[in-house]
Amino acid sequence: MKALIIGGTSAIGEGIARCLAAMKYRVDFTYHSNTEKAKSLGEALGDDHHSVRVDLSDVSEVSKFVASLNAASAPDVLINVAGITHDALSVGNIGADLARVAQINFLAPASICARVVELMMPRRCGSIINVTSIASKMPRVGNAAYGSTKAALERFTATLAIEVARYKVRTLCIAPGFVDTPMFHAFAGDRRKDIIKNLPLREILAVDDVVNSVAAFVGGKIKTTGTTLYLTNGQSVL
Amino acid sequence: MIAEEIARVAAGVMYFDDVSEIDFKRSLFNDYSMSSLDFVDFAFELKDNSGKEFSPDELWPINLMMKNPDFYTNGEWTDIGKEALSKIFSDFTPFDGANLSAERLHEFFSVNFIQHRLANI
Repeated sequence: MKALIIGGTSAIGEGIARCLAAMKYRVDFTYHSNTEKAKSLGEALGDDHHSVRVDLSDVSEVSKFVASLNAASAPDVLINVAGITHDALSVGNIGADLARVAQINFLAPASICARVVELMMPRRCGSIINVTSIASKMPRVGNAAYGSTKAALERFTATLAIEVARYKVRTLCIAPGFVDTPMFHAFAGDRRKDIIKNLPLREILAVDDVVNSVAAFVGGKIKTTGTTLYLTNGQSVL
Repeated sequence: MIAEEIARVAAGVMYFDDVSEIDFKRSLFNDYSMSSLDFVDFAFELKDNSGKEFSPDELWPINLMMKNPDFYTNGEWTDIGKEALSKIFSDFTPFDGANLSAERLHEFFSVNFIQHRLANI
């Protein structure tokens, strides 16, 4: 069984990679800039893996990567983890920033899903997980670009699910709240204590909380498709 | 594949109770409401049953051809496109060339055409 992780060197991506390797998957992954992490993760995964550098902000690189996927290399499990945050008011000339966030957080993973699912359909099995965010449902000052691209990916995933359900390909979005990752630390900065104080649970998620959800879906312990699993810090997501 | 096998696969994909509901000369798209999802499923099943390697677009290449400006442009088939169509349907049906809309071409997607197509892929 093969798994492909887009964004394997992120904290969540690495956690998922190690978990799936422990579940006896051959894990391939993409990364962007963290060559050191890619190397160390590759060593941890063993010889039987493949990693490739892909800049998801570059449409031609994504197209080239998508074109490189074929029946022989097609994964049984695809997980899109890669993404960027963008915290800015939606005022003024936002076109370039919006396009970049949309390319990385929505267009690239959607394009990769579309190709991988095409390869999964004839096999009549497969699992696709897109890691989104509760920001898709929780408007907050500054998160329009980030939240709307995550919402777009959830909507895409839901439609994809009904198009491929007959072929026993299942999809799931996992939408975490704040997770204890470098991305959260960069976002929170010295506001960490205030942010946690204002969370209903007054705690942030661990990477393993996300990883465990991935393992449950991939392992068949969560039997669903086309839905979004919200892993919150106590916030109500309606 | 023989026509009866093709019809059986089509009936299975479309959840028909009885394969005899399918007339081999009638269009699966127009007369039996085969959907795009049914079609892809049908193509995969035919591939498995026939032992031949082909994609859904090879079984019914019209949609792909209509996206190619060499074959189809400004709502009309080019001369190259018409020639390609003639090859696909050669020895199956004569073309009058008068109406080659997608809807009209769908009329040809019958069990008999699929049998012909599979023999030529």
